[in-house]
Amino acid sequence: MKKKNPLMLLIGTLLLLIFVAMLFCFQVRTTEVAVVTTFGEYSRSITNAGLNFRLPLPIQKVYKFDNRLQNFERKFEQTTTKDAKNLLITVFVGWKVSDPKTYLERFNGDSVRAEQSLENLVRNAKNAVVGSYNFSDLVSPDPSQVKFDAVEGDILRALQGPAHDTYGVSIELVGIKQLGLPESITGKVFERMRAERMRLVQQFNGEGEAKAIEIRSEANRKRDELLAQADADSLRIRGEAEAAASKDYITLEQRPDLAVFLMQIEALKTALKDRATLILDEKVPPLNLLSGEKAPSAPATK
Amino acid sequence: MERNLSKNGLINALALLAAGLGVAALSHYEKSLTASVAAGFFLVGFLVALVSWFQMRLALREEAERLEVESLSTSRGDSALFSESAAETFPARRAREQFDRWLVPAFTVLLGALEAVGVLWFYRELREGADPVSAPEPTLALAGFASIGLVLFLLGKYAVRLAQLEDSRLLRPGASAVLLGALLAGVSAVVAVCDWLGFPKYDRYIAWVLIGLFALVTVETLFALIFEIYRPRVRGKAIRLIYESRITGLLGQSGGLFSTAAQALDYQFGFEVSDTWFYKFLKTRLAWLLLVWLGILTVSSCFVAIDPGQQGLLERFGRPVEGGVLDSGLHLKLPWPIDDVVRYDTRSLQSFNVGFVPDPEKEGERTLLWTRPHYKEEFNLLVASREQQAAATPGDQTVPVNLLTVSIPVQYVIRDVRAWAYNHANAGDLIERIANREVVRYMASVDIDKIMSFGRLEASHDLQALIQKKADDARLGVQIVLVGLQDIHPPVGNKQLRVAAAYEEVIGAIADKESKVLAAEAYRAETLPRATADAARKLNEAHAAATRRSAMAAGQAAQFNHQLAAYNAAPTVFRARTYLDTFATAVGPARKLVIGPTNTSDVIIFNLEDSIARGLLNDAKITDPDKK
Repeated sequence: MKKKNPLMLLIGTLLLLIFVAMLFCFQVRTTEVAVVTTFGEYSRSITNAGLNFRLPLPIQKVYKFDNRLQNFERKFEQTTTKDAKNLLITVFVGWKVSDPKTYLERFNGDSVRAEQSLENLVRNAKNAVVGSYNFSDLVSPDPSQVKFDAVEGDILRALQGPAHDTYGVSIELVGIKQLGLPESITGKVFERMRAERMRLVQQFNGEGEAKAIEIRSEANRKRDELLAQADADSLRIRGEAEAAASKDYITLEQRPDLAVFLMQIEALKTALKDRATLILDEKVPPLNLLSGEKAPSAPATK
Repeated sequence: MERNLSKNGLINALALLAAGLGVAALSHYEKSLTASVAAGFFLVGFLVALVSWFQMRLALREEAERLEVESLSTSRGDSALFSESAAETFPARRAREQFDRWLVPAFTVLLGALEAVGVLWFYRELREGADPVSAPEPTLALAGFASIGLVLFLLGKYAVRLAQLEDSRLLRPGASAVLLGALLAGVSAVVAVCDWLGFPKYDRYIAWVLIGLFALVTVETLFALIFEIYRPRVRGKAIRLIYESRITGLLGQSGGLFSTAAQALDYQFGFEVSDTWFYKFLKTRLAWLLLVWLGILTVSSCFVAIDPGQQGLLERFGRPVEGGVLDSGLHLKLPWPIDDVVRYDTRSLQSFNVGFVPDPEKEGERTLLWTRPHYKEEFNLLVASREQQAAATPGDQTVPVNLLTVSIPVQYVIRDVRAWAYNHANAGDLIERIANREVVRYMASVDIDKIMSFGRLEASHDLQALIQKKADDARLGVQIVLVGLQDIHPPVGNKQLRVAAAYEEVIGAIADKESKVLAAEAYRAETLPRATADAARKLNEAHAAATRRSAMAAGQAAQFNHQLAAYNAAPTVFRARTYLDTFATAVGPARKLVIGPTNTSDVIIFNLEDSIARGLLNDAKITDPDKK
């Protein structure tokens, strides 16, 4: 019954080899750093990716950490600038494991714990650095006055030493993520912004009225000028006509009495055109005929 | 042979446990609902097989004890021994009886409860479960389930036949459970095939069917318990195992569907059912089986399919391979664990928002107003205030800033997947933080009025360049596609201080100003042409009057010349005629009163109107111009 089976033997050997390989080898990815401990004692750390040798589990233990830059941010925290202005600030920090041994000892390779510890360091550095800058170095109408880079650089330098020495971590990146104001100051800023706007409202109202008045009065002036000019012109034209007419009237001067008589006649016609009531003396020709006068002489001539 | 039975019982139990664990692990990895229900069956089967095995061992011990006592009694021929109580004489039998009486019902109660809990749990899982997801590697699932099914099938068939041959009722439950396990593993494999062919929904249907079966078995167990209570106790009659499921047992019966199929297979392949063929088979074929299985696994891990929109990074022993950025499509690689591929979504557009957290509730709103908050959370950005900065005095506690709310969606694609994957642990967070930083930094010195109006496009270009530069500095390997200054406006403010509303009032005031100016311009537009027209009219009238005047004068002069001629010819007649003609025509229509000679000769009283007071007229003395 116990027949030798070479194939089975081969497979058995193969499986055994795989098993042994699994016991004695481990992979380190390019994104990882590994720490090997022998009976709990640190023996070496591996930063180069690839296949590595180890002794099986009870003897050697392998810890792997992420070797890439990790970033985190924590609280939006109130702090004070050099010129005693309150503001809220969040910074984010990019860090990576620089000393796997220390990192393993301090945090047991737990990045959450590492970030919690770093947080305290970051808060200290941040408050100290922000406290040495003026508010106008962070917020200023002149872009060249805004010194984010300098502030970030200072925080980075303040962090680098202690982070490496005590935590085995190198800080590679610090950035200001957010700036803000405490609630009470926000209210004041709102108030001022509103007041500024209200002033603008008033200003625009005034400006509108002024402009309108200007336009209207200018229009009126132009109109008056035009009409005055027209009046003047028409007077002149009429005067010229009068002058021209007077030349014709010289003809009438040949017999002024006749001319006057004719004019009187014309005037009479015009005067009696509308409703008129005449109370006439009987002597008025031709009514004098009524009182028996015989010959109609020339009507009352001088 | 008896030992063999016991050993087989143990093998059944262990096989069920191992298969159950294997199926559970596979179902978890491949997200197969059917297989997870099947794993429940395996657990129940394992428990049943374990208890029956234990019971079998007790029975064997009892048998051995009986033989021993018999041989002792025959050798001694002493009847005094039997005077002792049976319990003392037969401890193994007593143990078996106790087990049958107490532990078997207790176990059955436990089993029933377990099954009921299992049914409820699966029911809830399945009802709340998300849409069917296809397995990450259906081929692996198929291979795994099929091999488990095959091994169980061979084992179960052997055990069933053994139980039938030996008439061992204690082996039967375990054997049936193994066969059922084989069936379920086969069903799981079929489901994996369906998934592979692109029908993942069948997984759910079949899982429902299996839950129904599970519920049926549960109900059966509970009924068996109830019937056990009312069963007439007849001494000496072989009792049925109450935990044995008749439904499961159907599979193991000769002539049943499954065993018929098994016999057909036997016939087809010429395997002999004997108590040794299984071990023979293991020796001769299992090696091949394992080899083939390993081969399939290895070959399947040599192919990697990258979905459209994704890129994969090829790593050999964890080291990135030169040129190992795989685009979508099928690729060859060395088998696991030498080569590994990590996939990333690189073609799809990724986006995040700066300055606000979108509110899903308000997503449906069609209008966005400054005066109403429209996001779940909006952040106020600090913007330097030019006026305040100029007016600020040292030591002043007020901060020279304005606040601004922005919503800036940023979109990006991964340009360099290596940089993205290898430089940063959480690159997505970092790009978001960098973008935030650049926005905050940019806004700190921006001109609030400019950016809210015409400076917007410029600002969006500036920001895109700044964020891109920072991202490149951090070696993120991303391409910023869009920085949309979707919304920049003053903060909504609070109840008392409605800042955004004040900004709107300013815009209203500007509009007011415009409208006032426009009204004035309209007035001007109307007045000036009218004045021009009036002036023209006046001039024309003047011209007309002038023309008239000169024409009249000329006419009068001409007329006078003629009249003069007439007058010169007959002066008196001309005068009289003219006068009288005129008198007649002029006085004709007028009312006339003629006063007689009694009155004063040279006074004519004009009685203008009847109604005029006479006294007034009495005083009026008017000399007739003609009369003088």
